[in-house]
Amino acid sequence: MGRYIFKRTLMLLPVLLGVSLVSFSLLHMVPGDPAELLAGEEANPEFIRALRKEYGLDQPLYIQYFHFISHVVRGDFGISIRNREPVIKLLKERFLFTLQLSFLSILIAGSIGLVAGVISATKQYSLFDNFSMVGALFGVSMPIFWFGLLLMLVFSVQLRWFPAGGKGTILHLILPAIALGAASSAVIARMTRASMLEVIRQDYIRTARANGLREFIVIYKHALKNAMIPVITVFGLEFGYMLGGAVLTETVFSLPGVGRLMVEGIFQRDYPIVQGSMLLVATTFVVVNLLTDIAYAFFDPKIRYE
Amino acid sequence: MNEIKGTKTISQTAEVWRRLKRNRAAMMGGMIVFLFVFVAILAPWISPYPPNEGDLSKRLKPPSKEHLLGTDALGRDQLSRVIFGARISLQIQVVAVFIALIIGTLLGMVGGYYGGTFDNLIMRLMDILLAFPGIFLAISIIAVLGPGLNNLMLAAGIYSIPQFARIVRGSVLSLKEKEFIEAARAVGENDLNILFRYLLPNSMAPIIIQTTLRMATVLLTASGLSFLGLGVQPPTPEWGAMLSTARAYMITAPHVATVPGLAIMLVVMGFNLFGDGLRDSLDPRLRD
Amino acid sequence: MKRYFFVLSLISFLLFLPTYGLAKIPGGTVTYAAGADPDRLDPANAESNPSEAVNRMMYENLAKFDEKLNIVPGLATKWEQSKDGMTWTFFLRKGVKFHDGAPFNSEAVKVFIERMIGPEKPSRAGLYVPFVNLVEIVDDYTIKIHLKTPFAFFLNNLAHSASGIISPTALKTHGKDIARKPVGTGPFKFVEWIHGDHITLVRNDDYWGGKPNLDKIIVKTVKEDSARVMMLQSGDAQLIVRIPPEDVPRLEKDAKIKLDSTETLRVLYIGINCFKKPFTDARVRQALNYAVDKEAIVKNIYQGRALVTSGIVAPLTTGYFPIQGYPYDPEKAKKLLAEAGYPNGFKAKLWSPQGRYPKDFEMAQVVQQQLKKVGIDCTLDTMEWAAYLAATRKGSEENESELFLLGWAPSTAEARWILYPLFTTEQWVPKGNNRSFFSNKEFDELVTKFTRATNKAEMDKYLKAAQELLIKEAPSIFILVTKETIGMSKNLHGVINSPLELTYFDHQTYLEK
Repeated sequence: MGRYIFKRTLMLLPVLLGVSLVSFSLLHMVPGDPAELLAGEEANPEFIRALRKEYGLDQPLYIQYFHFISHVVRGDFGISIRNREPVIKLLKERFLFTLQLSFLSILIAGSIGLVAGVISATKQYSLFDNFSMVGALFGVSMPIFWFGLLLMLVFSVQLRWFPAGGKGTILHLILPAIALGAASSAVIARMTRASMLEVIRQDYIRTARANGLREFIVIYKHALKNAMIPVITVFGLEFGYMLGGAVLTETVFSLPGVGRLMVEGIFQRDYPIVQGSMLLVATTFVVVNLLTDIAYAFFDPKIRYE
Repeated sequence: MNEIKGTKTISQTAEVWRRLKRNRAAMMGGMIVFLFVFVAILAPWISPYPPNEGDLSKRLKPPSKEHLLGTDALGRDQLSRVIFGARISLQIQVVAVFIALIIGTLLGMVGGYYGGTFDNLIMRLMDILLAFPGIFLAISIIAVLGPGLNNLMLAAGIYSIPQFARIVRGSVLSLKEKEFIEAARAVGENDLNILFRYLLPNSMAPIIIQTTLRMATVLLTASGLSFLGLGVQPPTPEWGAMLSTARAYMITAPHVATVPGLAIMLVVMGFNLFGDGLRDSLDPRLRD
Repeated sequence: MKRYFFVLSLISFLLFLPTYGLAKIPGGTVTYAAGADPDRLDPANAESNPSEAVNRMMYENLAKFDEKLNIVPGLATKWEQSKDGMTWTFFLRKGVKFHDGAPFNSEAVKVFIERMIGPEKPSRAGLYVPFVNLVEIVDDYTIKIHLKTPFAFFLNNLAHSASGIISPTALKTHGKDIARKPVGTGPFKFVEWIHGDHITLVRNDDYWGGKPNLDKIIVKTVKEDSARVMMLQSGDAQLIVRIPPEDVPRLEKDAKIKLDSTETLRVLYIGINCFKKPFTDARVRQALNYAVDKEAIVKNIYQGRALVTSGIVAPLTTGYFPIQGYPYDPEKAKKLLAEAGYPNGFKAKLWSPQGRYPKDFEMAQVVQQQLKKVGIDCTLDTMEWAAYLAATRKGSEENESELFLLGWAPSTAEARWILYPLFTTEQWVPKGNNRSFFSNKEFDELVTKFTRATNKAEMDKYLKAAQELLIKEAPSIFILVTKETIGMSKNLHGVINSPLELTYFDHQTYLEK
């Protein structure tokens, strides 16, 4: 197992190198100049020249890339062109926040999804099953920014239960977590239902039932555990996407997460920010994938990694 | 041998269709999709007004006899825009998914079949593409090429390539050890034939499922890009763009957002229901 | 004795009770939802409105704008201009301290001016480099600034947000990083900046104008227009900016909210690429101006929360003259097009940003529809802002623009900072900001003349002539002046809503309890 994790971690390197190279090239193909953007409509050429020089933007691209990589290796991600803040500090702040939001979101999505999925599967075609599957459909079918604004309208402005956006207490996180988790809970519910349905029909469950084990134990001890593998995959994927930043949710609820950092960085052509956040997002994605694979081994002893 | 296989496919299709017909949810999804395509094709004949012409003095009017779904911020008829929007949405879905389908399937098949370094290379490339935040990819493509319908479709398409590649690769990996492939190889069929006459037809089920489900996702991706200001060019009546501009009037004129919002939701739902039903019917393990 | 004390306190309590609700009680925290993320908290390098607004609370200038944009004393109590207009003497306010304890004196002003004209080249250096020759310290509280040429609007440049005076000691320690560690003399001090989320400021107890009323200010970034409105309604913010016109009637009815609207200096216009055919012909440009129904745009798209303009200079700008512009007259437009040789109109490209200015691309869509009525068939393209700036900034030969929507607000509040950068020949992009490639010798001369004028009558004469000429030559479709509507809780008083599109607080702003 240890060797497997080591090998997989090693694989991270080429992926990160690839991501950084592609993002670097793409970023520099995009028209627009960070210095000019900073200066806005009233740009003055002297300032633009000075700023380009300060950030090495006047160098050939391959030198800029080499410079970037050689600094990243030493843990130096540079400083933001827009606000002069060290990129590493911004990445830390934003990632910490995204981590909180994603945890809460996957917690909500996971618990709702699992419970709804299991009940739906055990009571297939019941009222609950139909109801929750329709609910799940709404969850995956609604454009997230629309859903977020509707949530805010109802729960912040009308009912005043939750704050209308911004960072702060856990209360501030509830609405965004629901908006972000809605689609995930739907996907998890559907996957759990499908996987459970399949497992329930297996012989060993029938045997367990025939042996007079209580239904509750059959379902939760035997069936659920065996139905978990595909669910775990979905779990991992959804969590990975959340950690990659949720720019739409973050924008609607004015939250300082990784998604907005990256997207606003792109819009402002803040190259160090974009490159730093790309590496961060790629790393989280790969790590979450790895964790998912390790979780397989936990739920299914038959899977061994060598 | 081919003939035997052929009859098998026909009976299989009939069986799938039989199962699908019994699935009420899938049929409902299918109906929605059908209706949507129907509306898209007939748009010029069934829409009451031209979609891009409005009367400024009649802006943000709630539904009435003249305008069944009200008017938008520029006084354009919402019903007509939603009807024409069906065309745009259908176009986005078909083109984007087609791009992903072709490239993703090819990469997945070749990778899965040949394996080894080549497979590794393709899959590492896919890893990079997957680990790449989709939104960045889409934004860069649109920023490099400029916003517009074509580039939106391209961005959404490239975004979906890895999903296809993974699924097809997985399916090819399990198929290539099967007897009939070994047999084909034994009688001296060349790689091209094996790939396209044996492996592809037998991987169709997951590809079809993925295609319908992606049709749903792509529509949401497009609306998200519109929200970020990277959607189609105005005045094109694309639903995502309509919804994202309408959010400024969410409280004062809620119908303006509700109409395209519901349209997106309905169509996404239709494709999801149909795709799920298809999955159930194509996957015999879930037979009850 | 005890009872006596009790009665006394009861009486005093009852006496103060009725006034309690109305009194100006110092203290309180205000959350202010701004529309965009600030860029840099270094006045000389700040370019976005949110940064300027925050800077205005931390930094002060020698001279400042009052709410009508008149120039009044700031950190200088008075000033004198020499007869030839070449030397300005400033007498500084005494007893002023920076937030880090450093004293404010001539030395601080010298450091500030020399930074502006020195090798560092801050982004706003353009306000000083062309005019300032050198600074001379007379004594601790008197300083002379020698100019290269007489400059009519020098005080406006000093009142500009970029001219906030930074603590010289802090500037020495932090250098350019002052952008995230600001130290000024203003009523509020910097505490922290969590990027993408908020900036916190606290009261400066040593403020020379007296202790500020508010304890703490939290400036949040809330990009989504509707989210800002909802935050005000839900009480999560006490002040919001950029309220969409549609929401105004509804918010006006809310008993807990009051609105304040001010005309800004920002003119939204559609630039015309005068370098490209058929726009080289003034008749075509005039036709474009006649073809657009500005009244309808203001009435419908902006719900009356904007002002039709005849030229590029907004009424509140120093140096504005009311001049007859182009009324809506499609027939005349067609006639002019026919005279210019386009009786059937032509095809053109119309560009617009999306979300940069209030209702920008909705306005562009209306213009597109209106131009179609006189035979000008436009394709409309929106671009993301960075790409938009880059595309409109290309040199004359490779620039592909034809018609492009832009807004301009002179941050110095005077007409020169419109006419000179936007329309003189030497300011053609990519060097300057003349994106229209407008070039007119007479106009260029008029601009030089009013800039160098040393008396008001002379200055006004040339200013007016320049504006008349510009309207006649029509290098843009002049459309409207925006209005800024802000909303706040009813108990927040003394908020400054400047026509410079800056909303901020001073030491007198207070929360009624």
